[in-house]
Amino acid sequence: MDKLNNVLKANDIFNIHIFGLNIPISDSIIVMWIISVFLIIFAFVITRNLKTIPEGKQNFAEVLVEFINNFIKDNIGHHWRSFAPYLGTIFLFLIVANIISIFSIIPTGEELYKITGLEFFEHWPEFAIQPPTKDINVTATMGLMTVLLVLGSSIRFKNVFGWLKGLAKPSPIMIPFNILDYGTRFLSLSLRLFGNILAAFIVMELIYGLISPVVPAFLSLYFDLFDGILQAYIFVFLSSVYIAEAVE
Amino acid sequence: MFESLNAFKFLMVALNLLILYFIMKRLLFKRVTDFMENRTNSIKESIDSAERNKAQALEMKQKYEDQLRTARDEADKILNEARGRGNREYDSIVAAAKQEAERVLASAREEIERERAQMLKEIKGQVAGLALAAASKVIEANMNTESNRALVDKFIDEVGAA
Repeated sequence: MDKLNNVLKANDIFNIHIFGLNIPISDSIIVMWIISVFLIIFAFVITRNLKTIPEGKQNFAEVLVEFINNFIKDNIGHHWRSFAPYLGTIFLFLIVANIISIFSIIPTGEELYKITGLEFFEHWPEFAIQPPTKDINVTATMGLMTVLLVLGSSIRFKNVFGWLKGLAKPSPIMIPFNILDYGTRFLSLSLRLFGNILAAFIVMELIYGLISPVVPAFLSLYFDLFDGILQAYIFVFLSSVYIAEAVE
Repeated sequence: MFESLNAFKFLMVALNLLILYFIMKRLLFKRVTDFMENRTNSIKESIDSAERNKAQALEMKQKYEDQLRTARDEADKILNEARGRGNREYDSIVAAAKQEAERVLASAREEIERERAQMLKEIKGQVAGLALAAASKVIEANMNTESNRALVDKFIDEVGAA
Protein backbone atom coordinates (compact mmCIF):
# COMPACT_ATOMS: atom_id res chain seq x y z
CA MET A 1 0.00 0.00 0.00
CA ASP A 2 2.91 2.25 0.73
CA LYS A 3 4.26 1.63 -2.70
CA LEU A 4 0.90 2.39 -4.24
CA ASN A 5 0.64 5.64 -2.34
CA ASN A 6 4.09 6.47 -3.45
CA VAL A 7 3.32 6.10 -7.15
CA LEU A 8 0.05 7.98 -6.83
CA LYS A 9 1.72 11.00 -5.35
CA ALA A 10 2.97 13.63 -7.74
CA ASN A 11 6.63 13.93 -6.84
CA ASP A 12 8.39 17.20 -7.06
CA ILE A 13 11.72 16.28 -8.53
CA PHE A 14 13.38 19.69 -8.32
CA ASN A 15 12.56 23.38 -8.21
CA ILE A 16 13.24 26.13 -10.66
CA HIS A 17 13.97 29.54 -9.19
CA ILE A 18 13.03 32.23 -11.66
CA PHE A 19 11.89 35.86 -11.18
CA GLY A 20 11.93 35.23 -7.47
CA LEU A 21 9.42 32.42 -7.86
CA ASN A 22 9.92 28.90 -6.71
CA ILE A 23 8.47 26.66 -9.40
CA PRO A 24 8.29 23.00 -8.49
CA ILE A 25 8.91 20.58 -11.34
CA SER A 26 7.10 17.32 -10.79
CA ASP A 27 7.64 14.00 -12.50
CA SER A 28 4.57 14.53 -14.70
CA ILE A 29 6.15 17.71 -16.09
CA ILE A 30 9.38 15.89 -16.78
CA VAL A 31 7.53 13.07 -18.53
CA MET A 32 5.71 15.72 -20.57
CA TRP A 33 9.05 17.15 -21.61
CA ILE A 34 10.22 13.69 -22.61
CA ILE A 35 7.03 13.13 -24.63
CA SER A 36 7.32 16.55 -26.27
CA VAL A 37 10.92 15.97 -27.25
CA PHE A 38 10.01 12.53 -28.56
CA LEU A 39 7.10 13.91 -30.62
CA ILE A 40 9.21 16.72 -32.05
CA ILE A 41 11.97 14.33 -33.05
CA PHE A 42 9.35 11.95 -34.45
CA ALA A 43 7.73 14.74 -36.49
CA PHE A 44 11.11 15.95 -37.67
CA VAL A 45 12.19 12.48 -38.77
CA ILE A 46 9.01 11.54 -40.65
CA THR A 47 8.76 14.85 -42.53
CA ARG A 48 12.37 15.06 -43.64
CA ASN A 49 12.74 15.67 -47.39
CA LEU A 50 9.19 15.22 -48.56
CA LYS A 51 8.92 13.86 -52.07
CA THR A 52 6.12 14.05 -54.61
CA ILE A 53 6.02 10.27 -54.75
CA PRO A 54 5.89 9.27 -51.09
CA GLU A 55 7.94 6.41 -49.80
CA GLY A 56 8.64 4.81 -46.45
CA LYS A 57 8.18 7.12 -43.50
CA GLN A 58 6.61 9.80 -45.63
CA ASN A 59 3.69 7.44 -46.27
CA PHE A 60 3.26 7.17 -42.54
CA ALA A 61 3.38 10.95 -42.08
CA GLU A 62 0.79 11.44 -44.82
CA VAL A 63 -1.53 8.76 -43.49
CA LEU A 64 -1.26 10.18 -39.97
CA VAL A 65 -1.89 13.81 -40.98
CA GLU A 66 -4.62 12.81 -43.41
CA PHE A 67 -6.34 10.73 -40.74
CA ILE A 68 -6.31 13.61 -38.27
CA ASN A 69 -7.37 16.13 -40.94
CA ASN A 70 -10.26 13.93 -42.05
CA PHE A 71 -11.31 13.29 -38.48
CA ILE A 72 -11.41 17.02 -37.71
CA LYS A 73 -13.02 17.76 -41.09
CA ASP A 74 -15.80 15.26 -40.36
CA ASN A 75 -16.48 16.78 -36.96
CA ILE A 76 -15.90 20.50 -37.48
CA GLY A 77 -16.42 20.89 -41.21
CA HIS A 78 -15.67 24.19 -42.87
CA HIS A 79 -13.22 25.62 -40.31
CA TRP A 80 -11.19 22.42 -39.86
CA ARG A 81 -7.99 24.13 -40.99
CA SER A 82 -7.82 26.29 -37.87
CA PHE A 83 -8.19 23.41 -35.45
CA ALA A 84 -6.61 20.33 -37.02
CA PRO A 85 -3.04 21.16 -35.91
CA TYR A 86 -3.99 21.83 -32.29
CA LEU A 87 -6.32 18.86 -31.91
CA GLY A 88 -3.84 16.67 -33.78
CA THR A 89 -1.07 17.71 -31.44
CA ILE A 90 -3.27 17.02 -28.41
CA PHE A 91 -4.21 13.66 -29.90
CA LEU A 92 -0.63 12.57 -30.51
CA PHE A 93 0.43 13.90 -27.12
CA LEU A 94 -2.37 12.08 -25.33
CA ILE A 95 -1.73 8.81 -27.13
CA VAL A 96 1.91 8.81 -26.13
CA ALA A 97 1.15 10.16 -22.64
CA ASN A 98 -1.54 7.58 -21.88
CA ILE A 99 0.41 4.55 -23.03
CA ILE A 100 3.80 5.65 -21.72
CA SER A 101 3.50 3.40 -18.66
CA ILE A 102 4.43 0.46 -20.88
CA PHE A 103 7.92 1.98 -20.75
CA SER A 104 7.94 1.93 -16.96
CA ILE A 105 10.43 -0.93 -17.05
CA ILE A 106 13.08 1.59 -18.06
CA PRO A 107 14.98 2.15 -14.81
CA THR A 108 15.00 5.61 -13.30
CA GLY A 109 16.26 7.27 -10.13
CA GLU A 110 17.41 4.87 -7.42
CA GLU A 111 17.04 1.83 -9.63
CA LEU A 112 19.39 3.47 -12.08
CA TYR A 113 21.84 4.05 -9.23
CA LYS A 114 21.60 0.41 -8.22
CA ILE A 115 22.22 -0.75 -11.77
CA THR A 116 24.89 1.69 -12.85
CA GLY A 117 26.46 2.51 -9.50
CA LEU A 118 26.89 6.09 -10.63
CA GLU A 119 26.75 8.54 -7.74
CA PHE A 120 24.99 11.03 -9.96
CA PHE A 121 21.75 9.07 -9.63
CA GLU A 122 22.07 8.33 -5.92
CA HIS A 123 20.07 11.24 -4.59
CA TRP A 124 17.44 11.30 -7.25
CA PRO A 125 14.00 11.35 -5.75
CA GLU A 126 11.48 8.67 -6.51
CA PHE A 127 10.86 9.08 -10.21
CA ALA A 128 9.21 6.70 -12.63
CA ILE A 129 7.94 6.97 -16.17
CA GLN A 130 4.22 7.25 -15.52
CA PRO A 131 1.43 8.76 -17.60
CA PRO A 132 1.37 12.53 -16.96
CA THR A 133 -2.38 12.35 -17.53
CA LYS A 134 -2.80 10.62 -14.19
CA ASP A 135 -1.89 14.00 -12.72
CA ILE A 136 -5.04 16.09 -12.30
CA ASN A 137 -3.07 19.24 -13.04
CA VAL A 138 -2.25 18.06 -16.54
CA THR A 139 -5.77 16.95 -17.47
CA ALA A 140 -7.33 20.04 -15.86
CA THR A 141 -5.01 22.25 -17.90
CA MET A 142 -5.94 20.42 -21.07
CA GLY A 143 -9.64 20.63 -20.28
CA LEU A 144 -9.28 24.33 -19.56
CA MET A 145 -7.42 24.86 -22.82
CA THR A 146 -10.18 23.12 -24.75
CA VAL A 147 -12.88 25.21 -23.08
CA LEU A 148 -10.92 28.41 -23.74
CA LEU A 149 -10.42 27.32 -27.33
CA VAL A 150 -14.17 26.71 -27.68
CA LEU A 151 -14.91 30.13 -26.21
CA GLY A 152 -12.24 31.85 -28.31
CA SER A 153 -13.20 30.22 -31.58
CA SER A 154 -16.87 30.94 -30.94
CA ILE A 155 -16.07 34.63 -30.51
CA ARG A 156 -13.65 34.65 -33.42
CA PHE A 157 -15.93 32.98 -35.97
CA LYS A 158 -19.26 34.43 -34.83
CA ASN A 159 -18.00 37.66 -33.16
CA VAL A 160 -19.06 38.74 -29.68
CA PHE A 161 -22.71 39.33 -30.57
CA GLY A 162 -23.03 36.02 -32.31
CA TRP A 163 -21.55 34.33 -29.29
CA LEU A 164 -23.92 36.13 -26.91
CA LYS A 165 -26.82 35.29 -29.16
CA GLY A 166 -25.67 31.66 -29.15
CA LEU A 167 -25.88 31.65 -25.34
CA ALA A 168 -29.59 32.45 -25.56
CA LYS A 169 -30.35 29.44 -27.71
CA PRO A 170 -32.78 27.74 -27.93
CA SER A 171 -34.48 30.20 -25.54
CA PRO A 172 -33.27 32.89 -23.09
CA ILE A 173 -34.17 30.62 -20.20
CA MET A 174 -31.20 28.49 -21.19
CA ILE A 175 -28.63 31.27 -20.62
CA PRO A 176 -27.51 30.12 -17.14
CA PHE A 177 -27.33 26.51 -18.31
CA ASN A 178 -25.33 27.42 -21.37
CA ILE A 179 -22.87 29.34 -19.21
CA LEU A 180 -22.78 26.44 -16.81
CA ASP A 181 -22.02 24.21 -19.79
CA TYR A 182 -18.53 25.69 -20.05
CA GLY A 183 -17.84 24.60 -16.49
CA THR A 184 -19.31 21.14 -16.89
CA ARG A 185 -17.42 20.57 -20.11
CA PHE A 186 -14.21 21.54 -18.39
CA LEU A 187 -14.93 19.20 -15.52
CA SER A 188 -16.12 16.29 -17.64
CA LEU A 189 -13.19 16.52 -20.06
CA SER A 190 -10.51 16.72 -17.41
CA LEU A 191 -12.02 14.32 -14.90
CA ARG A 192 -12.87 11.68 -17.48
CA LEU A 193 -9.32 11.58 -18.74
CA PHE A 194 -7.83 11.81 -15.26
CA GLY A 195 -10.12 9.17 -13.81
CA ASN A 196 -9.67 6.68 -16.61
CA ILE A 197 -5.91 6.88 -16.74
CA LEU A 198 -5.53 6.93 -12.98
CA ALA A 199 -7.88 3.96 -12.57
CA ALA A 200 -6.10 1.98 -15.26
CA PHE A 201 -2.80 2.87 -13.65
CA ILE A 202 -3.94 1.78 -10.17
CA VAL A 203 -5.41 -1.45 -11.54
CA MET A 204 -2.17 -2.22 -13.32
CA GLU A 205 -0.11 -1.43 -10.20
CA LEU A 206 -2.32 -3.79 -8.16
CA ILE A 207 -1.98 -6.49 -10.78
CA TYR A 208 1.79 -6.06 -10.86
CA GLY A 209 1.75 -6.48 -7.09
CA LEU A 210 -0.46 -9.56 -7.11
CA ILE A 211 0.65 -11.58 -10.11
CA SER A 212 4.07 -11.10 -11.43
CA PRO A 213 4.82 -12.92 -14.69
CA VAL A 214 3.04 -13.08 -18.07
CA VAL A 215 -0.54 -12.19 -17.02
CA PRO A 216 0.11 -8.47 -16.48
CA ALA A 217 1.41 -8.25 -20.03
CA PHE A 218 -1.98 -9.20 -21.46
CA LEU A 219 -3.89 -7.00 -19.04
CA SER A 220 -1.49 -4.20 -19.83
CA LEU A 221 -2.57 -4.44 -23.47
CA TYR A 222 -6.06 -3.48 -22.39
CA PHE A 223 -5.47 -1.06 -19.53
CA ASP A 224 -2.41 0.71 -20.89
CA LEU A 225 -2.74 0.52 -24.67
CA PHE A 226 -6.42 0.19 -25.50
CA ASP A 227 -7.76 2.36 -22.71
CA GLY A 228 -5.06 4.97 -23.24
CA ILE A 229 -5.66 5.30 -26.98
CA LEU A 230 -9.43 5.24 -26.45
CA GLN A 231 -9.25 8.05 -23.90
CA ALA A 232 -7.04 10.11 -26.20
CA TYR A 233 -9.54 9.61 -29.00
CA ILE A 234 -12.50 10.50 -26.77
CA PHE A 235 -10.83 13.65 -25.49
CA VAL A 236 -10.06 14.90 -29.00
CA PHE A 237 -13.45 13.81 -30.31
CA LEU A 238 -15.36 15.65 -27.59
CA SER A 239 -13.15 18.72 -28.00
CA SER A 240 -13.88 18.79 -31.74
CA VAL A 241 -17.61 18.32 -31.10
CA TYR A 242 -17.63 21.27 -28.70
CA ILE A 243 -15.69 23.39 -31.19
CA ALA A 244 -18.02 22.40 -34.02
CA GLU A 245 -20.97 23.45 -31.90
CA ALA A 246 -19.28 26.75 -31.14
CA VAL A 247 -18.31 27.75 -34.68
CA GLU A 248 -21.23 26.45 -36.72
CA MET B 1 -4.50 14.33 -5.46
CA PHE B 2 -6.82 17.31 -5.50
CA GLU B 3 -4.79 19.12 -2.86
CA SER B 4 -1.96 18.99 -5.34
CA LEU B 5 -3.73 21.39 -7.76
CA ASN B 6 -1.08 23.91 -8.44
CA ALA B 7 -1.12 27.13 -10.47
CA PHE B 8 2.53 26.77 -11.47
CA LYS B 9 1.88 23.31 -12.81
CA PHE B 10 -1.04 24.67 -14.82
CA LEU B 11 1.24 27.25 -16.37
CA MET B 12 4.00 24.73 -17.02
CA VAL B 13 1.63 22.26 -18.66
CA ALA B 14 -0.07 24.95 -20.75
CA LEU B 15 3.26 26.40 -21.84
CA ASN B 16 4.58 22.97 -22.67
CA LEU B 17 1.49 22.10 -24.72
CA LEU B 18 1.46 25.45 -26.54
CA ILE B 19 5.12 25.18 -27.47
CA LEU B 20 4.55 21.60 -28.57
CA TYR B 21 1.55 22.79 -30.60
CA PHE B 22 3.48 25.50 -32.42
CA ILE B 23 6.38 23.22 -33.20
CA MET B 24 4.15 20.33 -34.32
CA LYS B 25 2.06 22.68 -36.43
CA ARG B 26 5.07 23.98 -38.29
CA LEU B 27 6.93 20.73 -38.46
CA LEU B 28 4.19 18.20 -39.12
CA PHE B 29 0.59 19.30 -39.63
CA LYS B 30 0.83 22.45 -41.70
CA ARG B 31 3.81 21.18 -43.60
CA VAL B 32 2.37 17.80 -44.58
CA THR B 33 -1.11 19.24 -45.24
CA ASP B 34 0.28 21.98 -47.47
CA PHE B 35 2.51 19.51 -49.22
CA MET B 36 -0.36 17.10 -49.91
CA GLU B 37 -2.63 19.91 -51.05
CA ASN B 38 0.00 21.25 -53.43
CA ARG B 39 0.45 17.79 -54.81
CA THR B 40 -3.30 17.31 -55.21
CA ASN B 41 -3.52 20.64 -57.01
CA SER B 42 -0.62 19.89 -59.31
CA ILE B 43 -2.06 16.48 -60.17
CA LYS B 44 -5.46 18.06 -60.82
CA GLU B 45 -3.82 20.69 -62.98
CA SER B 46 -1.88 18.19 -65.03
CA ILE B 47 -4.97 16.03 -65.51
CA ASP B 48 -6.92 19.11 -66.56
CA SER B 49 -4.27 20.19 -69.01
CA ALA B 50 -4.01 16.65 -70.39
CA GLU B 51 -7.79 16.67 -70.80
CA ARG B 52 -7.59 20.03 -72.56
CA ASN B 53 -4.78 18.87 -74.82
CA LYS B 54 -6.74 15.77 -75.70
CA ALA B 55 -9.80 17.80 -76.60
CA GLN B 56 -7.65 20.12 -78.65
CA ALA B 57 -6.00 17.21 -80.43
CA LEU B 58 -9.39 15.68 -81.19
CA GLU B 59 -10.61 18.97 -82.55
CA MET B 60 -7.53 19.29 -84.72
CA LYS B 61 -7.87 15.73 -85.89
CA GLN B 62 -11.46 16.45 -86.86
CA LYS B 63 -10.33 19.56 -88.71
CA TYR B 64 -7.59 17.72 -90.55
CA GLU B 65 -9.93 14.90 -91.48
CA ASP B 66 -12.38 17.43 -92.83
CA GLN B 67 -9.63 19.08 -94.78
CA LEU B 68 -8.44 15.75 -96.08
CA ARG B 69 -11.96 14.86 -97.14
CA THR B 70 -12.39 18.19 -98.89
CA ALA B 71 -9.07 17.74 -100.62
CA ARG B 72 -10.01 14.27 -101.74
CA ASP B 73 -13.34 15.51 -103.04
CA GLU B 74 -11.58 18.32 -104.82
CA ALA B 75 -9.12 15.90 -106.38
CA ASP B 76 -11.95 13.62 -107.48
CA LYS B 77 -13.76 16.55 -109.01
CA ILE B 78 -10.69 17.69 -110.87
CA LEU B 79 -9.96 14.18 -112.05
CA ASN B 80 -13.53 13.71 -113.23
CA GLU B 81 -13.46 17.01 -114.99
CA ALA B 82 -10.21 16.15 -116.67
CA ARG B 83 -11.51 12.76 -117.64
CA GLY B 84 -14.67 14.29 -119.04
CA ARG B 85 -12.74 16.85 -120.97
CA GLY B 86 -10.43 14.15 -122.31
CA ASN B 87 -13.35 12.04 -123.37
CA ARG B 88 -14.96 14.96 -125.08
CA GLU B 89 -11.71 15.83 -126.81
CA TYR B 90 -11.28 12.24 -127.84
CA ASP B 91 -14.80 12.04 -129.16
CA SER B 92 -14.46 15.24 -131.08
CA ILE B 93 -11.09 14.18 -132.50
CA VAL B 94 -12.43 10.79 -133.51
CA ALA B 95 -15.52 12.40 -134.98
CA ALA B 96 -13.41 14.89 -136.89
CA ALA B 97 -11.19 12.09 -138.14
CA LYS B 98 -14.18 10.06 -139.21
CA GLN B 99 -15.62 13.04 -141.02
CA GLU B 100 -12.30 13.70 -142.68
CA ALA B 101 -12.02 10.07 -143.68
CA GLU B 102 -15.52 10.08 -145.09
CA ARG B 103 -14.80 13.22 -146.99
CA VAL B 104 -11.57 11.79 -148.34
CA LEU B 105 -13.35 8.58 -149.23
CA ALA B 106 -16.15 10.44 -150.91
CA SER B 107 -13.82 12.59 -152.88
CA ALA B 108 -11.80 9.53 -153.80
CA ARG B 109 -14.94 7.77 -154.88
CA GLU B 110 -15.95 10.77 -156.91
CA GLU B 111 -12.54 10.90 -158.48
CA ILE B 112 -12.75 7.24 -159.33
CA GLU B 113 -16.21 7.77 -160.76
CA ARG B 114 -15.00 10.61 -162.80
CA GLU B 115 -11.95 8.68 -164.04
CA ARG B 116 -14.17 5.78 -164.88
CA ALA B 117 -16.59 7.95 -166.78
CA GLN B 118 -13.66 9.51 -168.55
CA MET B 119 -12.21 6.18 -169.33
CA LEU B 120 -15.56 4.85 -170.44
CA LYS B 121 -15.97 7.80 -172.69
CA GLU B 122 -12.50 7.29 -174.17
CA ILE B 123 -13.05 3.58 -174.58
CA LYS B 124 -16.38 4.26 -176.14
CA GLY B 125 -14.71 6.59 -178.60
CA GLN B 126 -12.00 4.11 -179.38
CA VAL B 127 -14.48 1.24 -179.66
CA ALA B 128 -16.57 3.33 -182.02
CA GLY B 129 -13.47 4.11 -184.08
CA LEU B 130 -12.48 0.49 -184.05
CA ALA B 131 -15.95 -0.61 -185.00
CA LEU B 132 -16.06 1.88 -187.76
CA ALA B 133 -12.71 0.82 -189.01
CA ALA B 134 -13.68 -2.79 -188.76
CA ALA B 135 -17.01 -2.19 -190.45
CA SER B 136 -15.50 -0.10 -193.19
CA LYS B 137 -12.99 -2.83 -193.69
CA VAL B 138 -15.83 -5.33 -193.88
CA ILE B 139 -18.06 -3.49 -196.19
CA GLU B 140 -15.18 -1.82 -197.97
CA ALA B 141 -17.11 1.22 -198.00
CA ASN B 142 -16.28 4.52 -196.49
CA MET B 143 -18.36 4.78 -193.44
CA ASN B 144 -16.44 7.64 -192.09
CA THR B 145 -19.20 10.01 -192.47
CA GLU B 146 -20.98 11.94 -189.77
CA SER B 147 -24.26 10.08 -190.11
CA ASN B 148 -22.63 6.69 -189.95
CA ARG B 149 -20.71 7.58 -186.87
CA ALA B 150 -23.89 8.73 -185.10
CA LEU B 151 -25.48 5.46 -186.03
CA VAL B 152 -22.65 3.43 -184.52
CA ASP B 153 -22.66 5.50 -181.37
CA LYS B 154 -26.34 4.85 -180.95
CA PHE B 155 -25.75 1.22 -181.35
CA ILE B 156 -22.99 1.11 -178.77
CA ASP B 157 -25.11 3.01 -176.32
CA GLU B 158 -27.84 0.47 -176.71
CA VAL B 159 -25.40 -2.37 -176.25
CA GLY B 160 -23.87 -0.63 -173.21
CA ALA B 161 -27.24 -0.08 -171.71
CA ALA B 162 -28.17 -3.71 -172.11
